[in-house]
Amino acid sequence: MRRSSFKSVVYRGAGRIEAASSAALIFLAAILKWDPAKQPLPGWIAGPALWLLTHGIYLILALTLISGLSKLVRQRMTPPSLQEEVHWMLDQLQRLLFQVEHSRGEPGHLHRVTLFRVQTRFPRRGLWLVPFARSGHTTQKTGTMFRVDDDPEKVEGIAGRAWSKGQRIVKVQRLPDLSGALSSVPEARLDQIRAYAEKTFVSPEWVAKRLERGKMAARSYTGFPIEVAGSLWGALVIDSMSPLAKPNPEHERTCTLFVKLLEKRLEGG
Amino acid sequence: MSGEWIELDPTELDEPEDVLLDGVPVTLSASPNDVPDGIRGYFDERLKRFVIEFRYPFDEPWRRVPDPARHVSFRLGRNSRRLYALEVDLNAAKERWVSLVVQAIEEQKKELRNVWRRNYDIAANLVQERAPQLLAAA
Repeated sequence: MRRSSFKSVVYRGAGRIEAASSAALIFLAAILKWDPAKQPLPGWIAGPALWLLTHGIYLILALTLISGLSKLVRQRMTPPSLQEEVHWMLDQLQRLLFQVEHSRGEPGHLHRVTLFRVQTRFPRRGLWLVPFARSGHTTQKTGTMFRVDDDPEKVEGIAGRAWSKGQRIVKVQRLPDLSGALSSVPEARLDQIRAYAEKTFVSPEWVAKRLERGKMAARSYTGFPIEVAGSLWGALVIDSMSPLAKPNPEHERTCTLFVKLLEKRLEGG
Repeated sequence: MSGEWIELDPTELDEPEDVLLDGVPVTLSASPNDVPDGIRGYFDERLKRFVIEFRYPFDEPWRRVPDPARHVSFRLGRNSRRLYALEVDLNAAKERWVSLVVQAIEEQKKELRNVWRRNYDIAANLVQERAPQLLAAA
């Protein structure tokens, strides 16, 4: 999800290719103005210069294409610096909101802050909320996505509910504790999973799969819509194994300010 | 042309609400972007209308939506449909302008259909509460 070195290499590489192509284009444009009869060059350089003069137009076309593609790649990708900054911001918010839990020595992955971005996800249809960054260093590899749609019945998860048209903060707390669900008798397990799924706007199958993979089922969630330039960009979700949802009343102002700062940063790109 | 901004405390304008969302008990609050942190009123000589503006953390382009029956026009965010300003024809609305504005906001809210939108309620409450202050500052 983040700090993908491959993505960083591609992003930086595309930037270097774009810069090199642009410089080469300027050089070739200068070569094309060269008249070998009027401006003779020493023999060792005349050969390559003549070759460039002959093939210059094709090279210019090829370099323009390469430069354009590199630019397109960079435009389609999230700058690694932005992702790192957002991750840092999520870490700060997580530390602030879960100070008490940290002081009790509870691991960070039990209380997380995740930023989801709405995007298409080929070959799936429609729009999906896909993790953009998550606090901490564990539970970073995730395939968790939530479907969003104009039809409220097709919107999934707390993230989806926060994102959906209402422009609202959605808080769900005191969710069933599923930590012992797998060891329960099948009927009881199914009931627990159904109750949990209903309260978190996901399918029971989705919850069951998560549990089978050893993933946690948070006891509380708060979802914030994230808006950039007046349009819904995604959702920020605070999930916790604590049954009471964060932020606490004393942190609400800070959390609101944080969301505004985050939106401002995302607007800057 | 423009009146002074009256500073607002966004945390005092929105109370979390416990509701059933598709049968699930949840607590809903307005998005921070939907709660204004300032309001002002001024008379626009060009429009010949009394304008009430709401200030939010972020601006966006708006479009004008008239409600001729109530002598009110809305400035709504192009993407968000947030209520950025109201333009009121005071000469036509006369002393009933506050109630007409509130009715117009209610009607506009219905256009959103099933969408839960606190922004319009907050705007209507502010107009009711701050009407004398807004007129005085104009």
